[in-house]
Amino acid sequence: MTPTTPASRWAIALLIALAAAPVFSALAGQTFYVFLLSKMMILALAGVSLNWILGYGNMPSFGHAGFLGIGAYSVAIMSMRAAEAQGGWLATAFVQLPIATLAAAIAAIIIGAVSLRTRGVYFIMITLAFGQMLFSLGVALEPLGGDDGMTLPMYSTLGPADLSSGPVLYYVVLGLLVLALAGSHRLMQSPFGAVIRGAKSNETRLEALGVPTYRYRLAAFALAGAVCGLAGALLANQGGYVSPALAAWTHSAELVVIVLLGGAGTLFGPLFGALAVVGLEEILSQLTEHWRIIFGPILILVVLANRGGISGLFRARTNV
Amino acid sequence: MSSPALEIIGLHKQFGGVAANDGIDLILETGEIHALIGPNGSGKTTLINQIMGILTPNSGEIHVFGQNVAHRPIHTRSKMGVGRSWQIPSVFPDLTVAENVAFGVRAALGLSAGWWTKALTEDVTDRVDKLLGQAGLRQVMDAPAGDLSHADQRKLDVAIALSSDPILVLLDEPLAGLGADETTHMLTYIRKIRANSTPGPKRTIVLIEHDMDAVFALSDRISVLVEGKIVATGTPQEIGQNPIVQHAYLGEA
Amino acid sequence: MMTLVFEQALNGVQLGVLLFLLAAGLTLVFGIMNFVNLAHGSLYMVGAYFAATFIPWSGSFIVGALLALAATAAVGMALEVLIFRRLYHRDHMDQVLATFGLILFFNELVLMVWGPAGLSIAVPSWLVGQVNIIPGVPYPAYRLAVLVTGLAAAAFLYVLVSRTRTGMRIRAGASDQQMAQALGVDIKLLFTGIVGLGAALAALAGLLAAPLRSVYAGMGEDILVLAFVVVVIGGIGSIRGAFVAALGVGLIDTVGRAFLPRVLDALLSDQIADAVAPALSTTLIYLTMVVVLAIRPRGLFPAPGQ
Repeated sequence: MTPTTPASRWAIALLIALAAAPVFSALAGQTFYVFLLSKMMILALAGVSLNWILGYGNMPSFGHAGFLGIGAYSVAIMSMRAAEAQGGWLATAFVQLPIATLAAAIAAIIIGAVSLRTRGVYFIMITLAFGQMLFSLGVALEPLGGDDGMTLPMYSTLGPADLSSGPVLYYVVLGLLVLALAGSHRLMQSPFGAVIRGAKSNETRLEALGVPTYRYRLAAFALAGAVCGLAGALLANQGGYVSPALAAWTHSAELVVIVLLGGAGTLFGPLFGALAVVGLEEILSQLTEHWRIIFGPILILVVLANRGGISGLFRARTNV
Repeated sequence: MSSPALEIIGLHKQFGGVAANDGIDLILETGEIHALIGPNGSGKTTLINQIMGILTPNSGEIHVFGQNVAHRPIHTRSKMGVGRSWQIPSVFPDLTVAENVAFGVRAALGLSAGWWTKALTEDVTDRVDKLLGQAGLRQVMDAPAGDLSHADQRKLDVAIALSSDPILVLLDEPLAGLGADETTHMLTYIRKIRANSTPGPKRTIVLIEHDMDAVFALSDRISVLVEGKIVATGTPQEIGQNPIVQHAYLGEA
Repeated sequence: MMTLVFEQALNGVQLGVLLFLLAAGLTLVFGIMNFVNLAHGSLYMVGAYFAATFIPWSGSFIVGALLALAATAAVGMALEVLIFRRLYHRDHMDQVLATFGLILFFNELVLMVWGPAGLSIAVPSWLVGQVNIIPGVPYPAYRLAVLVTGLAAAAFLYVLVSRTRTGMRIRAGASDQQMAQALGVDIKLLFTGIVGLGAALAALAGLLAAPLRSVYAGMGEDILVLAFVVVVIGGIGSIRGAFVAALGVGLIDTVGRAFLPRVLDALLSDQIADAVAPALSTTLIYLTMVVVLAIRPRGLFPAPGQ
């Protein structure tokens, strides 16, 4: 998608609105929305990473939330150590975020190396199993609260501030999201992206042209895992809390919903998807506590309508 | 003496209880256009799938310019100079025509697919341009491949096969579904392919085709497959007069 | 010690047959309609809720259970007609998204109808107590009944698929839908029936498990993943594979949880063993699946033509 389609104009307008939102919500005294939009943007970041493999690359991972869990628990462990030492270098975001990203990347290389030997439904299921494995590990980690999880003893610090502050976290997340979207655009237009997009429809043909597709697919899987780990590290700071539920398969399913609802394989799809999911949840839950009874059927109707998600709606309108 | 372009020894491929290739022996000299003919299901596509590495033989050897490749992965064989086209045009429908041929060009130039460079750098576009010009697709180079007509997808399919600059080219029914004019164009194209390997010698071509006029016009030699076995090999003239062939295959046509 | 091993092995087989009942429906629907149904766990849950309602209402475990099976089969068939059949030719991820929507719907519906507290089903009075399977080894009668019922259902399914006209139609539908249609099989009706059968089997698993566990919203999601593991290890579309894999997963999970800590204690220092054992025993079946798929990417008994 070039940055001049209607979908991308809407997306850029949305990003500008997001940049201004904290100012308005502070003026209106509604700081809750800063908190909510931070969460939305973190999920969008995770969605961007999942979109690389699920949307562009036809690697339908169903265990992607496992990497959120790794990122979040990495921060939790480092913040425990930092709290014992009362601060120090291990407490800073400049250390915590890269280490969380790296930990997720390493896990993604191992998981991808095995999973990418399989195809189709088997790939969905083996990634699901790896995700559950990480979930079970979280449950078994008694020192970190086991099943219940734990409250972060201290937030990642950023110079004099830390990420417990709503606006600080908000702009860190927004900055990283914009970087990820720009990177996503550049990546998918690169030779590497062409291989990933090509392998989606026709992997054998790529092999027959001398391209060792497995390596490239694994690299894409690792990159997606890494960025999702970063999202997990931010999510731990956003909620001030980590628990195995972050890695549960239903959470992976939510990330899949974000990507598919927004429009798989489109640059800004995950942003629209995250906004729709978080927004719908917020609006519907004000109508009724049983909001899922409406949200579930909406998902079904979206699939039955089959318009390629929200980005597809923009496309359909321009074609008319 | 240099090794033959392709040497196949005792190749067997079994699908369940059926022997799709049942002891194939075949030698191709460099620069030869060698046609494989035979009824549907006689094992022609199975044979080239094994040469390319898409299928692994149950037994037997495949030598490309003297090296046994029977158990090498597909992409390694491409690097060794094997390329193929597909019976049903096999393009990347979401990518542009130029992007479709850029993969092989980049691989042939020894470039790995970087994360951060542009997809079509100058050294790549030159080659892409030439390939598409030769195939008659230069005007549509920015269109998504999925939007092309069948005839253009057929041309693109062959152009993709050539993009990695193979010296042993396997063409699987390149004329299927083409009209009369398009067939003439494709025949000229295939003759050019043989002449046009960038470095070194002429290309060697294995051609699967059902259009007998084209086969007899193009080929230096022809092998006839029936039920997984080669029943005859020879020049077009020899094959045309061979009684076994006339009975087993041409008689029905 | 032998008694304990024997008892744990029986528990493993009992979990195995429950998993098989769930996995059979999944693998049939996967194998024949090429449909990924995440909401299969919801049918397991709905079956348990129906049973928890019908059993006290009818005053009989058997009558209530049969009513629950019929009602869940009806729910499954309704889903097939309204939603599933529109998605058979769609991308797997579309199927996943739609059936995930169903999970959200059913979990919430159950909360609205039956409340958040959860329900329980009492063990029927005639199955309370222990029986001696072999002299000196007592085993709870209800667990034994679960085991026998599950095996009987497996046998029924085996006979149905491999020995009857209906089974022939199912197999024809699996291998070639056009051929089956040419043979005069009403494919639409057949598919609705298969989903109904799968739903009834899921409900059976749910109501059999209910007296041992409890009945709550979301109970389907935990076990669904195990059922998927079974289907994938067995090979998608293979009933026989699902049976072998279900028993294997049931045994590995149960026996692993019971004995792995002891084995590790014997091999490693206490401290390391204590840290590793819980993590390893909960992830053992996932590791098993990973190893199986790394060696055989299409499962133990890959169905031909998949």
